[in-house]
Amino acid sequence: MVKKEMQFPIYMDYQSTTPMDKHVLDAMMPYFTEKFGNPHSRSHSFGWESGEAIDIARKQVADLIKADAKEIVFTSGATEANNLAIKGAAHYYRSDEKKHIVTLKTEHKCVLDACRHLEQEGFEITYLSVRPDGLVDIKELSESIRKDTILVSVMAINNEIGVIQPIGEIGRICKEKGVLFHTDAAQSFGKIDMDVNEMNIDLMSISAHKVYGPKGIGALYVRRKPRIRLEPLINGGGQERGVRSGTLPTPLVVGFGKAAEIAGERMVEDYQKIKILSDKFQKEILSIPDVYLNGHKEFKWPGCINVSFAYIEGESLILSAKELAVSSGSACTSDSLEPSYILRALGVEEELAHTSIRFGFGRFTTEEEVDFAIGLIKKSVGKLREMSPLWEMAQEGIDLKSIKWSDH
Amino acid sequence: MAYSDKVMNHYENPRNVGSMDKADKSVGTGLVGAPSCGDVMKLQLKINKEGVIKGR
Repeated sequence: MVKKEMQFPIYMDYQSTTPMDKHVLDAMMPYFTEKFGNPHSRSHSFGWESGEAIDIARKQVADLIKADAKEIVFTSGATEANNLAIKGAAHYYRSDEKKHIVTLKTEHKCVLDACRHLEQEGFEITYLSVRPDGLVDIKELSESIRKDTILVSVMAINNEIGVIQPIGEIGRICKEKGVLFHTDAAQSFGKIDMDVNEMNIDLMSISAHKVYGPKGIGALYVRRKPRIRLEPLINGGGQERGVRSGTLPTPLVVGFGKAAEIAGERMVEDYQKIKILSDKFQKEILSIPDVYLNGHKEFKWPGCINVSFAYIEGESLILSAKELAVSSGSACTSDSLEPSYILRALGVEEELAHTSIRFGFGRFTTEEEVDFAIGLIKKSVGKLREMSPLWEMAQEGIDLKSIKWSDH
Repeated sequence: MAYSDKVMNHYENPRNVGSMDKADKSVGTGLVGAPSCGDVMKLQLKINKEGVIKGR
């Protein structure tokens, strides 16, 4: 086999999106041109052809989470799926006796923002704190469920720190207490085993582009037995069982199905490869003094490593290691200088939160790339600390907390 | 990244960077910013008897 030459920058931002698998693109191509029919057209073969392709894809997606194809509602992505699950369930089940939702402070922005929106409509939301390792306290979660609770929404794998919440346990508690359980599985679908029945999941949000599929397509799993009802966000022709109107984008749906099929076939292989590479990376990076791993060490997806490099601004490290495409834990990338709300929820001090970087590992990460990244980070950290007044003070034994800084 | 070429140039080829002995009586040290904002800056000046400034 010819060795693939290393390309720069090295992609280490698999949490934000993934490159599409070539096989996925091949599967999609015919549906842009010759097989262009509207899958909802029932009166001619163009429509039947597209409709059949949709049916196959729907089953491919369902199979990966042990669901029935009829339980899959295609959406534009996980953001829409999360909105549909939370607002849809809240609106449908709302009554004087039911008006409460439980979620975590470390959920994705779209879950938190949907909840904020519901608060304005009069719903009550409990935003649970997490432990310093990023995991939810099961007892606390159980106690937060009230008589008027409609839904509990807890993500599976966290997008910033990679921790895996105890979805099975949460599902069991929700079932016992008779409340709906929604999980945002954008980061976990196709990467770890997700079984909607074993885990008692009622609603699950999925994204295609996080698992080497196309952007612009995702799905919401909606349990049928017992049937979960949702008020649609989008009204129209009544497609997707009336829950999500609009013509389905056949090529995207086909690509999503293919990506799910490949993810199922390669799940074990991908996981093992990613684990070996990220373990090596983590061990090497944590051997640098004053470097800290954020989130639980074991209950996590190995493809996500979030590290704080004390005394260095995350952004300056990203600039210095520009051969790596990574994301800063501090949200400088989103035009704000506020450090990550997720790290803050873990109790990571603001100073340290500012120094964190998220590294992502995926199907196409190579050992050569990981070795290069390790060397580059070690070199950059050394160089930046060399000129950091904070590092100098720390080396002199000055407690930085004893100084009255001029925060602004 | 929204940084000008000039800023990037100084970032990649740092000039006047380093430390002087802060115990030296001819060295004045100033420190501003806060670690929680990620913008701590230290400026040192060395001034001799004739009043000639050497900055760092």
